[in-house]
Amino acid sequence: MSGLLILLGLVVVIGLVLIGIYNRLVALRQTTGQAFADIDVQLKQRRDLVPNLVETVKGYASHERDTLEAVIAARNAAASASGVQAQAQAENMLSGALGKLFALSEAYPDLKANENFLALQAELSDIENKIAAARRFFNNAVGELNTAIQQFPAVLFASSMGFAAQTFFDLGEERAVANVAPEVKF
Amino acid sequence: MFRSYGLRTHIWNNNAKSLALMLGFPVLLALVVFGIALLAVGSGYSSAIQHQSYDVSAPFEAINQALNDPSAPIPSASIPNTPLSLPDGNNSFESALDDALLLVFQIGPIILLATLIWFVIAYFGHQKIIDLATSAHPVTREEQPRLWNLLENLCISRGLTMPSLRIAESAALNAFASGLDDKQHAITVTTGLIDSLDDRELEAVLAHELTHVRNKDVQLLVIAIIFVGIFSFIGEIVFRNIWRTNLGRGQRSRRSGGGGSEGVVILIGLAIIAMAWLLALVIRFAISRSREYIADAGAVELTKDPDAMASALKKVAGNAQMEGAPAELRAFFLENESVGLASLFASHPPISKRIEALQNYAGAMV
Repeated sequence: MSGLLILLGLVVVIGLVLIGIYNRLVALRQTTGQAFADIDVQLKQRRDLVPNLVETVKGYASHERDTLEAVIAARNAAASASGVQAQAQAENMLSGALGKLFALSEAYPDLKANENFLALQAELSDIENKIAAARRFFNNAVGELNTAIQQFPAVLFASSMGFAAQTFFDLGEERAVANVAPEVKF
Repeated sequence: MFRSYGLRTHIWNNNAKSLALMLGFPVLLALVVFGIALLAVGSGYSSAIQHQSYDVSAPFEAINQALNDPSAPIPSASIPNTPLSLPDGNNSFESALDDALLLVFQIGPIILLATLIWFVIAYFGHQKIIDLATSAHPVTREEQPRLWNLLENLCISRGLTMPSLRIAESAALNAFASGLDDKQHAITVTTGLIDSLDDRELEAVLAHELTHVRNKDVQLLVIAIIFVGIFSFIGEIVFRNIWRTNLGRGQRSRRSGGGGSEGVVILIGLAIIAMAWLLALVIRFAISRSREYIADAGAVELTKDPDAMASALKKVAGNAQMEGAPAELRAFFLENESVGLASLFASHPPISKRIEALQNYAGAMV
């Protein structure tokens, strides 16, 4: 009788532990989802600023067609990219294109004096910072989820319950550059 | 305890830690009751009375006397028909322990009740203290649009009732959360903080304080402080009376026939009460520190910006000293630098450790 009770108690305890681990995994996955949504908001804000920026630059440097078109193309590619990996790459391209655009503006004193341009530049630089921070938070959350999934005993049942390791929002070799806001010279 | 490997696990572990620490208070209270029983038994009171007939008022009188009249000796010599029968040797020591255990069950409920009543009174007494103690004044959106919007955005993003926002005129860089319920919750920042921090850092500080509010840390700390108050009250009464008791004890122990064991029992009782007093303090500060780690991590969760919290802490470091703030209140601050080596009795972890935690668990690069 007492043996049965002990067994029953053991089953209950193990069950509670498993429920606890499951709930933690759910919470961790939820955090990564929210964190990605927050990056997404920032990325969308950046994409929304791009047409405005291109219009402004066009007024002063309309013959820099190649650079402007590259920015538009990168923006559209970023808007249609799906999946963490693809989106990170597309956004990376957009960052590069924007960097070129700002470098080009160096040659146009009138453009550099345009208030609208300056405001857009400041805003983009601010968003860039926010993206960097949000991306770090997301990567941190992904790292935590991935560790939790690989830990014992979660590793035994995590994948069968639909918990998969997630991809980092990685900027690859551009990472060091992106950590610093695009340099703005006056 | 699981190891922390990220922000959430860091928060979970610290929550588990403060829960375990909170559970320490009732355990200490039980210990103190046992200590008091030992003192009572050691100085002549015997629970033999319980063997004869259960007399509810007798132990109550003993405690009541001890609590209400500090000048009266702890032993309830006034209790009638209490035989002073402690035989010599080991036997008497063991029987003294038995007596003390029996006594615990007699006086335990009374002390528990007294504690509860004290708690209710003290808890609501604390509401005012925080408000009165600082010269903070509430501000409106028009006066401080920048600060107001930062806080409001944070609250909207999590569907929280916005705490009232206050500003304390001080050059120090500090902030604190106060209030014991939704209507009273307030976040106060100093003018020095507003002037020195940029928007991201200010948002991180507001998020830190908002996390304190969300986690009900103010309530938790007030409870911890009240517990410590109870232990130090009991401790003070006992130790203030011990000298008087000792004076009278010489005669009594002679009467009961040589009482080495009585002295030992009293010493053990005293040691237990002193230890509980000290441990209660240690626990209170340990809870406070783990809540700070949680609030730092929670701020990162709210703002998604580990660097902002870390760089805000860096700016605050060394500039947080607010003149004229009472010591108890400082536990609620964003930062309260501990002086010297008293790290066991620090309400806040050192800034360097807090930044380290942000780097290790939240990915901060500052």
